[in-house]
Amino acid sequence: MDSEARPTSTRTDRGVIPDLRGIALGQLARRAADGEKEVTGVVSRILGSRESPSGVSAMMFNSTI
Amino acid sequence: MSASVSQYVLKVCSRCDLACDHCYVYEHADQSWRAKPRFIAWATAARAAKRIREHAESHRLDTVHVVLHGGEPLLLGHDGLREILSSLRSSIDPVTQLDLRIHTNGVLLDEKLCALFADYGVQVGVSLDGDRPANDRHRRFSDGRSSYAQVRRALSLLRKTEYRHLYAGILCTVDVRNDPIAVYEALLVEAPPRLDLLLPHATWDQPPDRPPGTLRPYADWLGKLHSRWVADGRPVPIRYFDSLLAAWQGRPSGSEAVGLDPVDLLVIETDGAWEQADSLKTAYENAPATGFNIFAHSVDEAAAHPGVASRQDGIAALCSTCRECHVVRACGGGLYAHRYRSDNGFDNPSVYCEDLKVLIPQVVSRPRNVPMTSLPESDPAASHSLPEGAFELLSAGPGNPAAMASLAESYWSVTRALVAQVASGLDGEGGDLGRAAVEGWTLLSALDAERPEAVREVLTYPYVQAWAMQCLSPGKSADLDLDYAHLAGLAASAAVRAGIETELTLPVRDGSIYLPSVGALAVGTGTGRTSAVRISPSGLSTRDGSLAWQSVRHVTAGDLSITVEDIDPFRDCNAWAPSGRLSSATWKDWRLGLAAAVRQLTAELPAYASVICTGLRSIVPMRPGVVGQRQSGTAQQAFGALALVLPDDVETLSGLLIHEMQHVKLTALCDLFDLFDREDRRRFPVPWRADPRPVEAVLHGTYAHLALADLWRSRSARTPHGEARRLFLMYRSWVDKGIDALLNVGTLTPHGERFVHGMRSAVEAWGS
Repeated sequence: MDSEARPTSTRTDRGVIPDLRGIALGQLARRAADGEKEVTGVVSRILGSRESPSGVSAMMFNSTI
Repeated sequence: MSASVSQYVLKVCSRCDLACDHCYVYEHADQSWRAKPRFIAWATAARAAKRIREHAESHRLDTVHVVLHGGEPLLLGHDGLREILSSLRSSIDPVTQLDLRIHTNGVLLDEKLCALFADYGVQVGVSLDGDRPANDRHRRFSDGRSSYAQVRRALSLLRKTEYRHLYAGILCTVDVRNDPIAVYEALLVEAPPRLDLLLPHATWDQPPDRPPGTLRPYADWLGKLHSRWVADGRPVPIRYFDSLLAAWQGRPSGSEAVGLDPVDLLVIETDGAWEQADSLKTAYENAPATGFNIFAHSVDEAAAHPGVASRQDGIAALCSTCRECHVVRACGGGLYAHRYRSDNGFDNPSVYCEDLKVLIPQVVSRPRNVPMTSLPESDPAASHSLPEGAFELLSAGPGNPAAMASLAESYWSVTRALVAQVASGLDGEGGDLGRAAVEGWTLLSALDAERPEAVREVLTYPYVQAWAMQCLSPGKSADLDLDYAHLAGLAASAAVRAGIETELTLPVRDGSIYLPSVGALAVGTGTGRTSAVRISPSGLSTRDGSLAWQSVRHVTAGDLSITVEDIDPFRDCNAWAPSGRLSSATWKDWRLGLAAAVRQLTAELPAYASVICTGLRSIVPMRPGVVGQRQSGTAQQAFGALALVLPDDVETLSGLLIHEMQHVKLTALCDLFDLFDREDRRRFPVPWRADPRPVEAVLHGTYAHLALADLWRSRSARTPHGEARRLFLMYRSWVDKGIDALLNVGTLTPHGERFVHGMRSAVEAWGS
């Protein structure tokens, strides 16, 4: 019973950026060329967030925010 | 003229209240302590302060570091220490910045002493060898009692809010019979701002303990600890590893133990004798002695002693074995004392040489802030996450180094996707530039498999993201062939970092070829759109003959190690123009300004400072804009970078650093999580600007001002009724109003609401 009282995992916050660290760059480029969402989705998210209507048009924050 | 000396170890007590059997002062070859006065006399300390002041003035030193040491310096007692600290401050403060420290075993540290050190601005370092079994193996009283409980009590004092800024860190002496992971975990429990690991002093005459059946036990021990530390996201700086990496990368190691930096240290004994580094005590009787003393000899005279002078010559001063070794630029031959053998002196490799040759490749192959050992195998379904508690820590303002490292990990995936997307558009057309792009991509993807650490160092350079986004969202005037050919510049930088030989065709932009994060080579404007370049470990050369090489400039200050980027063409990603190449004088202003700002932030807001040191990679000097409006900025497409006009005063600079770093963190957090509905086009009034702002700007503004409120809260604690208090109340009011606005917009996601509530909890914890 003691083992049930112990935490078995830690709570993490999982985000929406896929982990692409272990995929070779060449393979990622081929996937991008094939339009695979795993790569193009990240690119769209990053580019899109810089152009979103709720964002800052200059793509930059400065001391006047 | 002799070299300048900026570091002094002032021995204020030659005895100790512990009897550690591994102590190099009492248990090794030099027994000169027996003839030294027990305590330094006030007149001797005053004379030492005068000598240091004279030298700082004549050499125009920006900073002088003085460490009170022993024996055990706290044995001098509160009043004795106050007299010495007062003497040092009154003598040296008027001519230069004095960095005062004390290194203690912690046994006698109490509230009264902490208050004294707070009054005189003294940072406190403490020795602790790990968990209780590790510590008690050596660090005992003469009657055999453990010192563990007293040392932990001392560390708990230094963690108190009012003394936390004094906590310099923990020094741990390695014993390979201890469990390295248990030692590491026990040290982390003490929440030190930094750690250092000390190889036990040894020589070829008295080699280090090597348990039977072990070949390189120190490499094994340190390697295990290093792997765990990297897997944890480097939650605390460990100087020994950071110094090896810095030296390998050609930066100052910041440590006498490794690297080839000229020695910049003298010891003053309790009798006023000038001595060399006290680690030499392990070599032979009177090894550190110079024959000089502070009453008759100046610092310049002591620094001209052959023992000190011979250690200004870098690699040329090493033995032939070291000069030919592939890891020498990291270890620098190891600690000088560890090279000693009685038949030929110091003309040897370190007695730890075989361990260093195994350890160094591991340390230098790990890029900064990367939990390599915990990297999952490529799993298409996996996405990046923050470790437990990191989201709350970030929402409270500073976050912590592990949270910052996690954000950097997610950005590594972002950058890989962006670069791959650019490369997917290559078609080999575009003449020389098109061929350069394809050739560069071919090399870059090969190096990604063979030397991933070199590729990562280059591709995570912030302006690489800016370049990729410019390629993918080009402006009307973009020269796409030229921009795509920048892939060859990335490949060249990775090749330089990997130390391989190759030839590449690189694009010429405005008369120069650019190697991101490395430098630029002027080749002239009449040489066409590309130039063939040969890359080798000894440098870069062109067939046509280059005109001038400019290196990317680095600043290392405390735990901060960044570039000040004034040449990369893609640094121009902010809302107004960057400055050109800084003059020598301006560059010096930047170095000194940033060093002072980091010191100030480390003292004022150590949590924010540690995150800046973890996550900031580069700063772009900007041209002055409209006064009062454009002092600093953060480009969303350059993670890890910010842009500044260098202000005249340190207080403003440190404020700009923490302000902009909030934008860096929040931008990455907004990329990793949906915090609000991006289709919400409404704008909301904010107290810090006259015009209404979109949701994202309200969120960013509130988060940035949360940090500034915290900064001025800290400053107002010293001057409760002055301008600092007014600024604290103003920023706090802005944060409160920003939070109220955000909680009413109705388009925050659950993550967004959690983040805003985290900010509110942080403010409420300050009380009224």
